[in-house]
Amino acid sequence: MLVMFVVGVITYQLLFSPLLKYPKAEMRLDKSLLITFGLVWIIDNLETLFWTPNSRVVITSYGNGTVNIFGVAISYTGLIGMGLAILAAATLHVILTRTYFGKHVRAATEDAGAASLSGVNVQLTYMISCGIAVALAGLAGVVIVTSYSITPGGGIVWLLTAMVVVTLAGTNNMNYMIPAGIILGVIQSVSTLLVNPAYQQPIALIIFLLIIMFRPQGLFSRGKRLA
Amino acid sequence: LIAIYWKKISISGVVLAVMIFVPLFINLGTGIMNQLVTLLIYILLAQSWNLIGGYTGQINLGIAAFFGCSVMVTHFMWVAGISIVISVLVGSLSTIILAALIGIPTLRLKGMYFAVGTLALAQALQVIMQNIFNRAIFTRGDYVQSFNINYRYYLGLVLVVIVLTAIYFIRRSKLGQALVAIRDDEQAAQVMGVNTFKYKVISLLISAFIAGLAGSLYAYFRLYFYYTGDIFSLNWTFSAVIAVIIGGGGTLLGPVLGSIFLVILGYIFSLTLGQANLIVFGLLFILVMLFMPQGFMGGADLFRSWLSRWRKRTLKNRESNI
Repeated sequence: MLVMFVVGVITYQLLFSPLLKYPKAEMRLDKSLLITFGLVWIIDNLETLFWTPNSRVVITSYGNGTVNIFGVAISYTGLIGMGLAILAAATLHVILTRTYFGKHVRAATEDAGAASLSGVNVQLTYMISCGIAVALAGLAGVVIVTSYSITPGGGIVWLLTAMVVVTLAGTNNMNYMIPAGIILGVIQSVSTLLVNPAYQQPIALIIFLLIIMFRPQGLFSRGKRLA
Repeated sequence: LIAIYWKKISISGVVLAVMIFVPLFINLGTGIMNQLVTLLIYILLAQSWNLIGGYTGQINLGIAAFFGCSVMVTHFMWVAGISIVISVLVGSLSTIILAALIGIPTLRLKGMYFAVGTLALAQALQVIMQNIFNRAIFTRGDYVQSFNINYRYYLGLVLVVIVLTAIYFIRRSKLGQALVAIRDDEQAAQVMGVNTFKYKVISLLISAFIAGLAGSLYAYFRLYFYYTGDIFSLNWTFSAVIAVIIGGGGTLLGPVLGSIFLVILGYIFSLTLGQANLIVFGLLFILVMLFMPQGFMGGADLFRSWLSRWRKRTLKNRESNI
């Protein structure tokens, strides 16, 4: 995770800080989207080049073990993943709501200009939050690798899953990420019973479209509507 | 009118004449003809992305979905014995349904919803199609026997010329003005009374139609598809984006230049570097994005302004010498 944090900071410094010269937030968003898209491309192909495009798994000694909780068998890896997720979410929540850094982040999101006028180092805040985001993605990768097979180029699938969860919860709505994730996971798992397991991703897309059409502010937010 | 634009018209006329007559009289060989058809496909794809990304400023990461949809429809219509012109039209029109499906919900919202929605559409379609058509698809045997690369080439040339002129006139119409206004400042455009949502959807539909043209050309060009997921793969989207960004988004000739660059360099690099050629393009893409956001066309403008400044300076020097 620390390594991934450093990677995130470096990525920010190299790729995203040049974008700050664009005056408008939308423009920055567009450019950073395209740049990360290019980055995905490069890293995917590097992985293919170095480790061949075959699927791989990490086999752990506890990978097949399960634990019985109230008659439901849960694998250790799933349990560890859940614990890590709750831990990470709780830590992030504390950081964002209880520290000055969190205040800076929220201020920079709402109005970068005003935040920097009131003495927030917006650059540094962006950099550290980018680092934290990449580190969390790395943590998710660790959890994924113990329970799924991985391929180069398989990252996009998880990216889309993450996006669907964010849309479900509503952007800027940290507290509901876990329920949203659980809802999506349950829908996808139940759908494997009803239709072909291969269609998990189309189902995520359909959920995404439905949410966007009917509740673009997310399932849980009671506040103002978007757009 | 002709007096003003005689330079542009004559240059494009010469280029067009070369493109038409050289393959008629000189046998270029199948290899080069294949590369030329690929180039035409890339130009179409790049123009499609240019319209929605370069002129309208909406990041579309799902070109592959429109492309692949059109490939499938055109392929099956053509194999069923319907003439290729009709199958090209129907295949391209079929993408419009897809575009409306994804565009109408996502384009209403700001931010990354459109990009993510289109990306998800492409990925989902790839999975679905891979599961439905899990075997290789072939054209009919008699089509294989009568295969002639020149037909593909001229069909592609006609499509490219139509699309380029269409985009030229769109840019100069009210629609084009609205699109550029949306790109430059969506809020301001809305305040001025432009129905931004309507124009964004129209732009997406036209763009999807052009991507569909590229797809149907590909369906006509290829005889078999071993792996159906391939025609929906991210590569197509990435090629389109990279051609537009390198060439210069929001210009008519930028994507054409970018595609030429992409095809030629791709040809050279895939021979010399093998697998690593895709990484080179990724690096190039990011570098252009960061340091030359206007692409080649912007670079040409910079060069031109530098040249005129230099000329002025030398003139001044001469005057002061006299």
